[in-house]
Amino acid sequence: MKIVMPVSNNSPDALIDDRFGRCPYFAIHDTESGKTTFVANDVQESGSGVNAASNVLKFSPDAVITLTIGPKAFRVIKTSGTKIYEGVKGNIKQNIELLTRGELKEINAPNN
Amino acid sequence: MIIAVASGKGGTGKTTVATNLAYYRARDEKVFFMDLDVEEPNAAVFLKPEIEEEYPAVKKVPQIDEEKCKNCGKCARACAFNALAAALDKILVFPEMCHSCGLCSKVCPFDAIREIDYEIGKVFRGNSSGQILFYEGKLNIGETSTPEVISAVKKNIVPGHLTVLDAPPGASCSVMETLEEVDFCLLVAEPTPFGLSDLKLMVELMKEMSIPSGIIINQWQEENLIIDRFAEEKNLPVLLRIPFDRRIAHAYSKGELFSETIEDYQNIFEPVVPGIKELIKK
Repeated sequence: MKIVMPVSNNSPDALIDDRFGRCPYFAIHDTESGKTTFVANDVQESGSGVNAASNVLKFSPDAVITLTIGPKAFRVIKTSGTKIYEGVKGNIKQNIELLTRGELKEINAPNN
Repeated sequence: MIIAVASGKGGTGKTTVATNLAYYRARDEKVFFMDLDVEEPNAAVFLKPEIEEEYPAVKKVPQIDEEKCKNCGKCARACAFNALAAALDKILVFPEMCHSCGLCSKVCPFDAIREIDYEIGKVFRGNSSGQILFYEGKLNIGETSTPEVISAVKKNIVPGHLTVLDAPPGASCSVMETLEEVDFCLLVAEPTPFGLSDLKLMVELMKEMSIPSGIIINQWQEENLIIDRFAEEKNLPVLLRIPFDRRIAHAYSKGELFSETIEDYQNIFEPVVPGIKELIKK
């Protein structure tokens, strides 16, 4: 399973970022290989959420974990049917563990 | 003559000045009044117009013909404002982000984009006491295309009539849209450090746009001459000083024109238009 989340930097112990569209990096974690890769977020002056969401879809994720997500980014991600989960403040590993244990709530409407 | 009433800072008395000035001038001539503070128009509270017509203010936005669209994503990549997003199997349009530049329809290789009208706000037309032709722009909730609504209202300007434009606060796009093609700008300032700081920004903007301007000091007090001193230093004309008077605040809080309901102030706006004419001549 491929999981994408906004993170504060590109190190394995990075924390999940408060923002979706304007986070510095996205972490892409593959649960099968256990590997995490990082992609810098191409932050825009206008429409960062839309842009970030369409870039995230290019990784074909099975799930997105985020603390917050706005209405436009939500709409873009949802066209693919990808599930979005509300993460907890903490690092990548903690959030992946909670998700795989089924302990993260799905976000069914934009929350930011 | 088109006179804009602006201020860098909000809450300095733009609407108070604009409505009372229009009311005073309407004794002698037909006055066009336009509330261009379209994010929060409130001049109607004071002028109490009878609204006779309302119509939508629109902008052009892309519409995707899904039959023709091959989801190549060229339009989304071209859009500088991310108003289009290439999702997995379709292009999504976010009309509220669109600046109506039309680039998307130009770059589409499949001729799948046409531009359609999209409502961003409303224009209201009415009249107040027969002598004031009243217009108001109102931006729809969730929309951000403030200048386009302002421009839709300004299309009603008829050259040759005294026109008072109540500008939005600040010194950004929406204020600049308001100031396009005006003959004069009244800068309403309150004597506070904040008021002075934002007045300075407006004075810069006047220079940048080459608009003749004069200052109206609101809530003026003899013991606080912070704006007077700045005006003197920069050689800027002060056209009027509205005193700090509790009765004015009281009239405002009741939605009254203070120059109508407080006898002492009935003619306070008399020097403004002659003063403007004098300054324009120079």
